This record gives sequence, structure tokens and C-alpha cells, in this order.
Amino acid sequence: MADVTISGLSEGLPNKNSAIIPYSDGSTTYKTSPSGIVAASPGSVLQVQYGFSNSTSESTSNAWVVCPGLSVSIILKNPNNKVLVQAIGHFGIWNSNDGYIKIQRNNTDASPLGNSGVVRSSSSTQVANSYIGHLASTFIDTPGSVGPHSYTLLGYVQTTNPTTGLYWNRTINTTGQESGSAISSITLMEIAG
Amino acid sequence: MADVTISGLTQGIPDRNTAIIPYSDGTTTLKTSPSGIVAASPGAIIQVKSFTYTAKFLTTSNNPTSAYYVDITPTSSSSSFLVTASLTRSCDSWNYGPHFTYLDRHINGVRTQLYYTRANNWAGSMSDTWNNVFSIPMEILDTPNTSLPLRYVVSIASLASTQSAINGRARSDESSIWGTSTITVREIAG
Repeated sequence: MADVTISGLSEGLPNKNSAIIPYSDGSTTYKTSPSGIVAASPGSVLQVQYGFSNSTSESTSNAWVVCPGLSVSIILKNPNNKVLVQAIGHFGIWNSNDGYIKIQRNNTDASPLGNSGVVRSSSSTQVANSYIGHLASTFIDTPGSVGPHSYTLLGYVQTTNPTTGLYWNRTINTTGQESGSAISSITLMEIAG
Repeated sequence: MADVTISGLTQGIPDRNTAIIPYSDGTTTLKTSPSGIVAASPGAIIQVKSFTYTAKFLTTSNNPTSAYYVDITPTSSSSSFLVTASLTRSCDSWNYGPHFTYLDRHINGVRTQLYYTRANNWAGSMSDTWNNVFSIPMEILDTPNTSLPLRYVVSIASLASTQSAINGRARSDESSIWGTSTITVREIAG
């Protein structure tokens, strides 16, 4: 068929204009979004929010440590929508210790426990000094309200040596051949419910 | 006005059906996506390109050396691009020399570094680092503000000039493939 022009729709009013357009299954109805344009088949990505940080920090406590400078917020268009969360963390750890990451939404745990895996550094001092562990976590979150919702990335090192810990976005040693840095990130995608 | 029904559109053919629907500014034309539905509100994903690198790549260069890439041509200069790469990586870290992995954007051959990480990763003894194969994830949201063709490139460097590898061990006496590496670019409507 020829191109179709629809005119006279109300501008910028949420769900005011409705256009029924055959989907590949020929059955779906789409309503206009708050911006006044046609939205959004269930499962489609409505928006993407991204944040990164190459800020560094050093912690020697046996506790979860927030990646500095990395917090990403999203305001959902509908409380039924979901958030696809993708987080990547890089950090140095020392002396055969195990490192983990997790993601919090509004300061409450959101990521499934253990879905990012574990990294372990070397017992060799110089190897550990130049080590950066790389972990990624991807999951679907269901906040249940329009928000805003703020996501943060945290790391934890299980250590029996209180003088060593977790070094976000850097190696333990910051000078010479053993030094190095990295960028950690969070990506949020709103998925139509 | 009353609800409007459009029928008889061709199903599942990219850009086959066009519906001009007044935007809040009254000027925007929306085209159908590859699935046959109307696209794309700001924030929607409108195009995906991906490449999987399956060969072994080995270098001792201390300058960033291109390993693999994916090309994408923006639909609009206002689009953003979510670039995700996952590498199977190995480094000969003798003398603890730094190895790096980079994610770059090239426009007409001009390189812009977007993302990097030091790649050294080994839990054993220093003399055996070249046998360790590990994963590196990277992700960046890029806003190039252009409609020129884009090339997103994964490159690596060995700042100590020791062997550095993708998809295999960091040693020249072994050709085995231990994994694959990928890059995916998603164009996001602006």
C-alpha cells in the first residue's frame, strides 16, 4: 500500500492518540507515548541510561564498597516496565583474596547474589600488585514504580588481611610497570512491560 | 479526532511502511522498523550491528593495535551508540609489564579512544602468566553527533613489548583457540 498520513492528532498528550498498525502478527494495538509519538511494543527498549567512572578508591575494610563516581538513575514511563541492568566492574585485589560485585537500586540489593562470578588475585606480591579483576553482571530488575530509581555498583573483597582490600579502577601499585587503570560502567535499559 | 486504524501494511519488511504522525513539534516522520512496527521514540534501539572474532590475534606492539571491528552507519546524527565488547584475553606479564585493551571509534580514519582497561589478570606465578586466559567486558555509550559511517575498533597493546593475545594464550608457540571475542553496537534514537 502507499504511505499513510495521519493528521489532526492531539500533540504531546499521553495516550491521547491511538493508531492501530498491523504488527508482524497482525494483532497488536499501539498507543501514543507521553511524548505524543507511537510507542512501544511489549519487550521493546524505551530508553537507555549510561554512566561510567574511572575514579579510584582504596578500601581495607571487610565491607561492600561503592564504586566511586558511578551512579545511574532512570525514570520509568510505566510502573509495569522493567529495567535491564548491565554492570561492569574492574578492581585490584591482593594476596589470593576473592572479589565480587553486586548492584543496588536505591541502596537496596537488586542483582541476584553471585551472578557476576568471582575473581581471585595472586599470592605473588608483584603479580597481585599489577592485577585487575574484571567482572560483569546482567539481570532484569522490576522496580514496580515510575521512579526515579538510582543504581550503584559495589565491590567486596573477602580478605583475612585487614591491611589489604579493594582498589576500584586501578591496580594496587600506582607507579611503574605494575600500575594501571580501568573504567567501570552501568547501563540501564527500560523495557516496555 | 477518533482513533485511526491503518490496515494492509506490508509485514516484516524494513522501512516498507511509513506513517507520518504529528509529533509534539508537528514535523517528525517515523518509519517502520525491521519487525514491521512503527519506530522509534527517543531512547529506542533502532539498529544493531555485531561481529564475532574467532581467530587468534597476537602482538608485542606497545602501541594500540587493531584486532577487530564493526561498522555502522547512523540513521541520524542525533543518535547515540551503545558499544559492548567482550574479549577472551591473555597476557605475558613477565616483569609485570602492563597490557591494555581499548575500545575506539574511527571516523574517516581518525581514532578516538572511548574505553580502556589494564588487562593483566593472573592468579598464579609470574613465570606462567602467558598460559592464563580470561574474560574482559567493556561497554560505552558514545554520542558522535555525526551521520558519517562509524567504525568501532577493539585494539590491544603490550606496553612492556611482551606477547599479548586475543582468543588464545599469549605465546607464539601455540595456535589453539581458547574462546571467541565479540563487539556489538546498538544505535539508540536521539
